[in-house]
Amino acid sequence: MATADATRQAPAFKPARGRRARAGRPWVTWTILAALVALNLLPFFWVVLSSFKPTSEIHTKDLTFIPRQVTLSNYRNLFRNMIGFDRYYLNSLLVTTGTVGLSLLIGSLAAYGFARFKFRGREILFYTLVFSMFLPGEIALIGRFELFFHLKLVNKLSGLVLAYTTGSMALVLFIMRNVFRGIPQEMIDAARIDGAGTWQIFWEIMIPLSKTGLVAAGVLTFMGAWNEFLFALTITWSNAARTLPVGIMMLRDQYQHWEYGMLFATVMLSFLPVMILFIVLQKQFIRGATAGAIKG
Amino acid sequence: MDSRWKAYLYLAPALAMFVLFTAYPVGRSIHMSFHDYEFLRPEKAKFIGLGNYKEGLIEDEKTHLSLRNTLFYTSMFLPLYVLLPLPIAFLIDRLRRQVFMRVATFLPVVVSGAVVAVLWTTLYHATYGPLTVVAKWLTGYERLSFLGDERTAMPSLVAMAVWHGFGFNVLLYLVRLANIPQDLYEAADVDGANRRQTFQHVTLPLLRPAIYLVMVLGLIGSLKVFGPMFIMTQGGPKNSTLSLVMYVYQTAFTFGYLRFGYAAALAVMLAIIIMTFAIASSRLNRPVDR
Repeated sequence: MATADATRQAPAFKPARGRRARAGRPWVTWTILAALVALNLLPFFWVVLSSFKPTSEIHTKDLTFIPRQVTLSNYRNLFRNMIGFDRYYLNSLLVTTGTVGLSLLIGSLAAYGFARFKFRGREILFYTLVFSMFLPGEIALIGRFELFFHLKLVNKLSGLVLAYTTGSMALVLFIMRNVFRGIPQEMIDAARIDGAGTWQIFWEIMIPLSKTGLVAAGVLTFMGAWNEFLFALTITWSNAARTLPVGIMMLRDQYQHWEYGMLFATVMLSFLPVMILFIVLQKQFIRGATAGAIKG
Repeated sequence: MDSRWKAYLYLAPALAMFVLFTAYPVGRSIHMSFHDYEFLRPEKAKFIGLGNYKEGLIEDEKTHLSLRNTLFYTSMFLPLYVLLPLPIAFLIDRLRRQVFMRVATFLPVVVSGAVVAVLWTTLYHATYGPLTVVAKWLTGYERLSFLGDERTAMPSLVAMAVWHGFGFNVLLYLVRLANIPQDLYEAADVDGANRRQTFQHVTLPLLRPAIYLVMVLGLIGSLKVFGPMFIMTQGGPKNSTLSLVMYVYQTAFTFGYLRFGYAAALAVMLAIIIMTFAIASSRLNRPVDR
């Protein structure tokens, strides 16, 4: 279980000179890679460029990639007549923020309990919780829908937060227990001698020393909650609670016949902020995304 | 020390959430699966033993179809998903500065699957979609419609999914490659190994865990595939892209009076299939030597 160490000591992109020294023909490498990047990002360029085309240029068999005529009318129409897009965005933001916060809190508390206390049944409990991570969510789906229906948690943002937190806290627990175990015992003993209780030790020693692990767990939770589709689809049925993944499908169904330009603008605004966030935080993102995968 | 009860205090929120929102719903799903239970007619629910399972395994043609479709999807998706990123990871691994390449390949991964599906609907559009226009021009086949034709619908969904997961796998391979200790390469060098031998005896064996990881994640993900079908084809044309999870969803939330009992039985069977695959492949993953 080297996961903790991996998340703590920055992964592993140190250039390994010897191997690279062997690489001949950088031209070939660069050409292939440039072609790959272009192919990889082409769908996004297509959307960005199309979102600036007038409708007449989109609804034509005479396909253009680069707009012949640039217009902002798609965005103007979109902002003037939102029919839900802003709401979906806000909902996604609220649900994701709530889920990340709650999962990190609940998961870290439990991780602390598992990492720093001895009690009967500790291993069994821990593995039961971690095992739940591997259980396919579909088997809980229908039972959970019924439960949420009876608890009146359906069609509510709070319901989504609770469901997503349940889904991701095991992963947080798994990552954070290893991180907490890596914190030297002497620091905890020293704090204890100074009269700190377990609660104080948790907030003043464990949490501040585990920032990297928390970021990694946070990124994974963020991606899960931001992208979730199936459960959101089943328990939301009005714009008050719909998140972006569900909402964008509704918008597609409305726009796809007459207002393709607005659909492009919608798609563009759906991916752009996340992409910018990723580019700014790319180190943390990538570290988080691969946190569970780096072993040994 | 007083630590025991304190430990339970720290665990309490997580345990409560787990029991209420995971353990109970899973148990309830299993319980439902033995009943003829429709959500909108709870008063008519009755115990029918393995009846739902019998219906799913033997009688219901649509279950068989959706299982076949899912396996078809998996068989196309998995090899591409595992293998395509490998050569690219090797190429990027040679670069001294990888940040740009890492970001550029990873970008699609951060976009949510639903947004990607809507985006690709526009790429595949039968009249205005650039992929369709280019393919028509290449093949001269004017009636081409990627998502509207049962022969091309599923492969089209596969292509999108492979593209969407590509950057993540490149990254996993890269991280693993960068973690291979430099002295192994030097040792191979000293022993006079050529590039192919080094690749075969150093790089590949040490990359194996990452390849297995991608394989298992890809397998589980593709057996549970739902979003692309639901958003892009609604399971059509002629049910050719109806996946298992999509059928579970339809059974539970659109059929009759919402057939929760039968849908739960299908979900349980799906879970059994997935867990079997996952456990079987984790046995393959035992490291031979380190």
